[in-house]
Amino acid sequence: MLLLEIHIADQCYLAPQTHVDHLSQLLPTTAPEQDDARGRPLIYAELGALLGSQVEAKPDRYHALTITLRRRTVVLLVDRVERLTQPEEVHPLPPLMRKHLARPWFTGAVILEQRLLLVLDLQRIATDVALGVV
Amino acid sequence: MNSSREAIIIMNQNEVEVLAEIQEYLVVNLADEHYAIPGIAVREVMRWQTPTSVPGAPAIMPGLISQRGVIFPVIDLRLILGLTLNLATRATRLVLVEHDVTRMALLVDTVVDLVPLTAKSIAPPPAALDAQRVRLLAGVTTLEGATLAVLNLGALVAVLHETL
Repeated sequence: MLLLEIHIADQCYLAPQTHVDHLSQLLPTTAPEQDDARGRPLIYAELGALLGSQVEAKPDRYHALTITLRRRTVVLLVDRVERLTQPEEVHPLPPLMRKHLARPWFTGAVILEQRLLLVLDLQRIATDVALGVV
Repeated sequence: MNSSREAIIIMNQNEVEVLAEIQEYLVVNLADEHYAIPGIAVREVMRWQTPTSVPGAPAIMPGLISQRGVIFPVIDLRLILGLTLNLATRATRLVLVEHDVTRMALLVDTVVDLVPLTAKSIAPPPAALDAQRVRLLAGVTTLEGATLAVLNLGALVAVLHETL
């Protein structure tokens, strides 16, 4: 499974490439697109804020991850997407922790270069954003 | 001749019984209190490393760590026992335990020693303790004059599986 390496402040996450329809760079000087290909308003959300990141300093540029759902299109903003990686194994989260999470936003964890990284379920996060539950 | 041989056999049986009763426990320190973790469940003791924090996880689970390709949730024993939190130091340790199918890394202030205890030496926990702590303890004993609380890992796992 190909995973995108996503950086938000000092945190690093992974996410399946298949969850993202489009990856683009968003400069602060350019106005973001307002509508998707079907003319429906795009929903923008800061992924860091959704994940509880407290860093206030904004980066000079963002990467925008476009996730198309059945009825809406959600754009999740992150500091940067660094590279694609293909780990040998995605471990499920320990059941003890999984059952206590506030939201089921992680599909597992990967041990990559001696770091333990969480794998985000961007489709699920985008769905919760579109539904307005977060 | 026969009676002395029987006496030797009886003594050996007693020794065997006493030895069978002895179990090793890992003594750890939590907020200046001593707790014993059944040694049979302890897989490894690790130096402290900052766990990977999982957004949305309860405070009692400060994150995940990996050791030899296995992922463990870190459990802050001090929080679940209602004790004072200390900052991590060079002495802070993660005790990797496995109880039935549940693996976890117990965050402790220090690891003190591995000690043998007999079941007979462990008394029921004092009734004066709060209900949560009583539930988490298999009992109490003394070690070098100090109170040693013996953790009940089965109860700990049950509490952790319940709503925190």
